[in-house]
Amino acid sequence: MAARLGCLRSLRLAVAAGTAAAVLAGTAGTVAADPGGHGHGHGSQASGAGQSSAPPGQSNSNAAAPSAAPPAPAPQASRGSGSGGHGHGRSHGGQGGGGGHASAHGGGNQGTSTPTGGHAKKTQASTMTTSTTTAASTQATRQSAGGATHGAKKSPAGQGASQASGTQGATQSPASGPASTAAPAPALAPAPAGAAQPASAPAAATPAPAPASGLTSHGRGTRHRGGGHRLAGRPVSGAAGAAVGRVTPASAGTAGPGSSTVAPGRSPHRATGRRAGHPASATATREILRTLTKIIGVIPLAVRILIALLAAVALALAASSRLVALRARRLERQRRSLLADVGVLQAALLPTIPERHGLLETSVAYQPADGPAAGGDFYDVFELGDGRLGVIVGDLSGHGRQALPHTALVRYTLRAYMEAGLSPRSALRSTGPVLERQLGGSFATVAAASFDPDERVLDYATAGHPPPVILGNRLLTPLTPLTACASPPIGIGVVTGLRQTRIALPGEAVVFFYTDGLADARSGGVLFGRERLAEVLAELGPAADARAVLDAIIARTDQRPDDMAGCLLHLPGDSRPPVVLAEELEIDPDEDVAEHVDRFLSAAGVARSEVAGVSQAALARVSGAHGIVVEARFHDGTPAVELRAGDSVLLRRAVTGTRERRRMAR
Amino acid sequence: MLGKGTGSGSSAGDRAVSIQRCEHDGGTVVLAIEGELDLASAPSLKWAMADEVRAGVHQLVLDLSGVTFMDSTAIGVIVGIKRSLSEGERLALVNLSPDVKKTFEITGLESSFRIFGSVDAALESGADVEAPPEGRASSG
Repeated sequence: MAARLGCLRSLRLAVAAGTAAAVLAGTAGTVAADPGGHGHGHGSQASGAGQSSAPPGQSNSNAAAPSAAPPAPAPQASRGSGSGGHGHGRSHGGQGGGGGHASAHGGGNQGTSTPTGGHAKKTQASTMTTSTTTAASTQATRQSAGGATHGAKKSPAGQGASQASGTQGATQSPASGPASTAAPAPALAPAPAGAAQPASAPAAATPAPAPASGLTSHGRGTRHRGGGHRLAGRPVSGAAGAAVGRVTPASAGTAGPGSSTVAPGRSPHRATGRRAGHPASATATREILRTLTKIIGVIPLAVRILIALLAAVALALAASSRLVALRARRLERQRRSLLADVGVLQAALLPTIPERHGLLETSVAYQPADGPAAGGDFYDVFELGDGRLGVIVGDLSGHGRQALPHTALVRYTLRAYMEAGLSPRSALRSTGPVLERQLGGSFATVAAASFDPDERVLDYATAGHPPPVILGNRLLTPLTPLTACASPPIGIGVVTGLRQTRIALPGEAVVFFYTDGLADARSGGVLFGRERLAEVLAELGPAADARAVLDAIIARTDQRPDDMAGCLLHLPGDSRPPVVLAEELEIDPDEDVAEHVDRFLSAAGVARSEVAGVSQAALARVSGAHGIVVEARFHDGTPAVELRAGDSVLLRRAVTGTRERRRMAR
Repeated sequence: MLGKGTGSGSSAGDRAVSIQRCEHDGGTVVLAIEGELDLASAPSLKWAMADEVRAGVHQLVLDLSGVTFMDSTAIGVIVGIKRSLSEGERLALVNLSPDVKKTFEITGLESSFRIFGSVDAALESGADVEAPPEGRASSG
């Protein structure tokens, strides 16, 4: 409490002092009170504004006070000159009209006072000490100096002592009590208190002008009126004297709470430290309140307004800070909740997959786009009832939140068809019309595959999607996929699911499904591309997982505008390379059949000389029928082309091939 | 906005894409596109094409000879415009570079669009509304 009051006072003092000084002396006197109960006063002479600061325990007055020490003699304190001698310690006289301020502090227990006169001197510490001692013994000091203030502190010892040093007549100052603070005295004329006592008596003399502050000493309730002010010193409990310093208007002297103060005008003797011992807390409180009120009364309107404004600003800031804090907490809660939801959604959209299926090791990875494109990629790896493994990797046009429900829709629809036993191509074929109406304006590109671990055969079909990169352990370049007559995306109003590729993986192989975010990543503006992706796969070797592939791409590119999803299948084995077993195409009777079949067979590796014959035969057999499939087969020793309707073979013709694909098939 | 004046160019996106508009007889508008069509620049193409469709173009020809790269976003834009055409309005793609042609092949869109080897071929086909698209057999 004491400390708090001290602070409060300090504040006020500072303000008041400044103002007062300005007003009065025309000088600015500042007093700083140490909350700790020390007051410092500096008196500056020159200007008249003095501030006094007193270090704890001692007070110095810089101000001009001559040595205060000087005791007794202090003649009159005039304000101007302040003779040093007042009773208190600190007063400074402002010279001339300047106000001197005095501050008091209490040093530890001692009170010190410095006298200040209008002189330039300071009081010495020693002086103070002395005083203190004295005080302790009994005296209270008072200061009278006009303007003196005193800090009163209490002695820790519980003495309320004020001490003042009045001893020497010099001024001294107010003692300070330990804990309490002293208030600086404003500068003003010293106290008039006429009473200065012995020591100072004279000093006090001056008075008039300034209101001096009065202090009280403990124990006594004295009041004083220093130039018109009065102080009441109340005894305070031992500890605290309630001392209130009063301030003159000019100055805002405050007394440390608890501390005793000196009353100007009083004889030092009277004030006793001992007295301080009295309890009187209620009274003290009242005193304090009254003092505060008075202090407030002295504050100029402008300052009050200023203080009010500052207070309003402080309140507004506090309120705003509180609101922000509340909001931050709420947002944090919401964020946690959203993250949990996102986790659930991600789990639903990006499922956990079996890490192994027979010998096959599988891994997936997903990397959201740097920019606003996130959300369109999806994948799934799941075991099919017949022992095969299903794989789906896709990308939905349109990105972000609106894409999420569609990605789930496409993935689950495809998965359902595949689990029902359809081949990847047939699953895409069936999914197309089903989702056509549901995808709104967006469309999906998908690669779907099934792997038979017993046969070591992979079937894959794409719909507007890049085919997987397939590498063997001795293969430096990947298998070249057949992309002629590829099927369009799901959802663009065109029949899809017309093509499928069957690959045998007799030896060790890596199959990597990906979305075009990987190939479309850039490094220095250059597309990463499928070729470099294949290089990365070859470089990383069969031990790498999908995450490592994505990380390698991330390390080699600086722009990744789209999501990246990858699914890597690794099948251990010997060095036999992957082989294309068959390429199939369902003929769409609405297309130009001959042209379509020609293009497909040529790309599949059937010798050009044989293509025309086959496509003519196909044309004749098909003639508008749906579901006719042309398959170029490269296994069983003899390359052949089959024309089927469902399970029945309409035509089977052995062919020779001229392209790499066929050679590879051998 | 984009491509509104004949011969005018405009760009958008990180990698500039320029679209030049040229109007021919018979309600045919040719948009000559240069640059890369990707996530960043596809919107420019979309608006340019949508403006033409709104203006009632009879045949819209996209000259892609200057297009070095086209990603799925751009393809999505073209597909979307194609689907928004009403009866009697047609879209043709001409002068596809090998890379762009490959993109159309992989995405299975080759046979969904009318693709020609030159602007003239597209204009000729446009003169005969019922004529089957030409130039499709050029792949192999």
